Amino acid sequence: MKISGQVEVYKIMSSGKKKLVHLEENLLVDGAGEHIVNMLTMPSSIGSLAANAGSATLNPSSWCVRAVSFGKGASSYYADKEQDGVIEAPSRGGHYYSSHISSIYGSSIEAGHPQIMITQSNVPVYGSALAKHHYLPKYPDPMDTSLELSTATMYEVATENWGGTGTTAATSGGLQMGQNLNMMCGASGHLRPSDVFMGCYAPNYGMEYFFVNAAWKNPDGAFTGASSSEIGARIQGDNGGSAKYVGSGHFNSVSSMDNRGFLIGRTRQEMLQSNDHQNVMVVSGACASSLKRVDPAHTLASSIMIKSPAVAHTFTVSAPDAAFTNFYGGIHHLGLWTFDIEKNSGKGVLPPYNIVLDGFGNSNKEYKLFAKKMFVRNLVENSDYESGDPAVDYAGHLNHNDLYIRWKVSFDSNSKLDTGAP
Amino acid sequence: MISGKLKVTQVFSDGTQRKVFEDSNIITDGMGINIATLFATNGSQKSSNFAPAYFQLGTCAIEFSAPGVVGGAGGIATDAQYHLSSAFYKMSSAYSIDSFGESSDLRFFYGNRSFQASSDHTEWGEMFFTSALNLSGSTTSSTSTKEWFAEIPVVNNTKYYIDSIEYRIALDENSLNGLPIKEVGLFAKNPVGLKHDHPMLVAYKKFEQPFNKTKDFSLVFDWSIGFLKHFIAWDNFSNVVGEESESVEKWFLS
Repeated sequence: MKISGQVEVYKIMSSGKKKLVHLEENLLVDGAGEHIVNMLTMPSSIGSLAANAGSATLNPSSWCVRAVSFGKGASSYYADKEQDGVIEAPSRGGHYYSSHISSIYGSSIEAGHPQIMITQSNVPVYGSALAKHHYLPKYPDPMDTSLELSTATMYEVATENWGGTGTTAATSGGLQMGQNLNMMCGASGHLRPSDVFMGCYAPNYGMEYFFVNAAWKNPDGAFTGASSSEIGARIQGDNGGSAKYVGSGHFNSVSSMDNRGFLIGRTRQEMLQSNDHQNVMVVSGACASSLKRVDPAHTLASSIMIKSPAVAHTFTVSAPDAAFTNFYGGIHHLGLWTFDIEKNSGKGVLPPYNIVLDGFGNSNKEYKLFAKKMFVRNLVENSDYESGDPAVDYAGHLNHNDLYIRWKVSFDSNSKLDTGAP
Repeated sequence: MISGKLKVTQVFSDGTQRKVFEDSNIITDGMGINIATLFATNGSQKSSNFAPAYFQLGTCAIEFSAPGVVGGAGGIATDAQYHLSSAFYKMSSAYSIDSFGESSDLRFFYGNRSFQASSDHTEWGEMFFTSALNLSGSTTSSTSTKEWFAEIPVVNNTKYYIDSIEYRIALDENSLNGLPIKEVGLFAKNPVGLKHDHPMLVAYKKFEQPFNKTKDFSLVFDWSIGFLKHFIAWDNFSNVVGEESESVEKWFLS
């Protein structure tokens, strides 16, 4: 019997139609087999399970895939190579608060917070397509337990090399998750400069962002060395003008992603409405031989699995989140995660696992990697449309599509004939 | 890849052991339905109901027959049968409790068996090999009559490696003596989650040469099911120029 996974990525077009842009196999990591074996040998398999864990430990909702995460190549978290003694901004660009820019453009958001994002641009005219850095993710390995091994951020580079840059005092701490973090998920009053460095999803209350000409190679931590006029001259906007944009992330609007970048999953028993896949990851039964999504309502009926029983994990990356993750280096990785019952039990977190995020985006749950998918091309890559007619041209970052992603894990029987002879 | 291996050992009263059989098995479609149902949270709300907990032994065996004839003797299987060779949910001819003898140490359960049912637009029936073709619908169902299933004690389930399980079936000296054993099936406990257990076949093995059980020995079936048949590392120590490297199987070396 073959366990396999397939990832389908659709772009939701303005007409509402879906366009399939990726259809590829995934990699089930060793953790998947271990997880299933643990499940089938419960409770003896979990040594650290507390005696009072209760029957909820046996509930399938404690064992099914409960989160999805996004990531990119490790180098994209870090920075470009050092050049002429200057470490260039990473592919995600520099993300810094600047009182100078705020004074130029004004700020509708609480003063004193690093609400300004500056990203590189290599299109001076339109100033909206990002400088593309082709850092490939690491090769997929069945022994992987995370999407990437290291996700040291540019922020750490900044503190090492540009020490004393004012607002950049914190570190990324223990949040080396190997994936895109969601550091701006808390309330605006909690936002720190380090959160802006690490990203990667826009806060629900909106974040102002600007574009800076890619020729400007040395944005320091707070632009303290640049004059207001110089900064203003380098900020790019649509059609040659300068502009301030505001982005608001959907994941953070619905509080569906914790600060470590895990988009929470919801089983059919936990579904609230039929469009849950727009907010969270929905786990449902599916027929692997069919490309048609199994509507949540159908899963309430008896099993519809036919020849290739499968489980579908369906979720949406909305356009605002796609735009912001692109600012931070894009999406080259997807990961499916189950609860790590052993680790959770070890820290005293017992089923049933109610996923509630606190004001800082903490879910207090540990996850185990089940499957991963690497994309050579950035899933949220886009480009400006430049025809020469300003009336029809548009900036790429304003033209992202929602991505509808269905990840099916199927259990196909394809055994050879059994002759009975040893 | 989910795969399995069955080892059968004779254990004599003086403690000596003799391995009499070791081979890979068939992981049937029921295993896929079993695990997919759990991960989709569509069935039982207790994960232990998805674990194998019962077995049956039989006097005949599921045969792969000549084209167009399912269950017949010999012949060349069709392509469809190759691809559907694990699409069955029952034993060929399972022994009932009476065959095991009054002194058997085994515990038995009498209940309905689960299977995947299919429809040909007119009526529903249990899927069995090519009957799975041209189906218009499918659902999990169960037999209307009851069967005998022998229990596998929970203590006989072992996490054998980080990603494999071993189920030990011990057929004591007093069980099934004088009768041939030509097939064995492993059943998940109750994946559909009904009030009483409804076992579903998840793994199967037939024996070309039947075992004739006697009171002189007990038979121990060590059934390993794992999830990593093919190790991904490649053997780079080939010392013959031009010889292709071969994949190294982590276990279940054939």
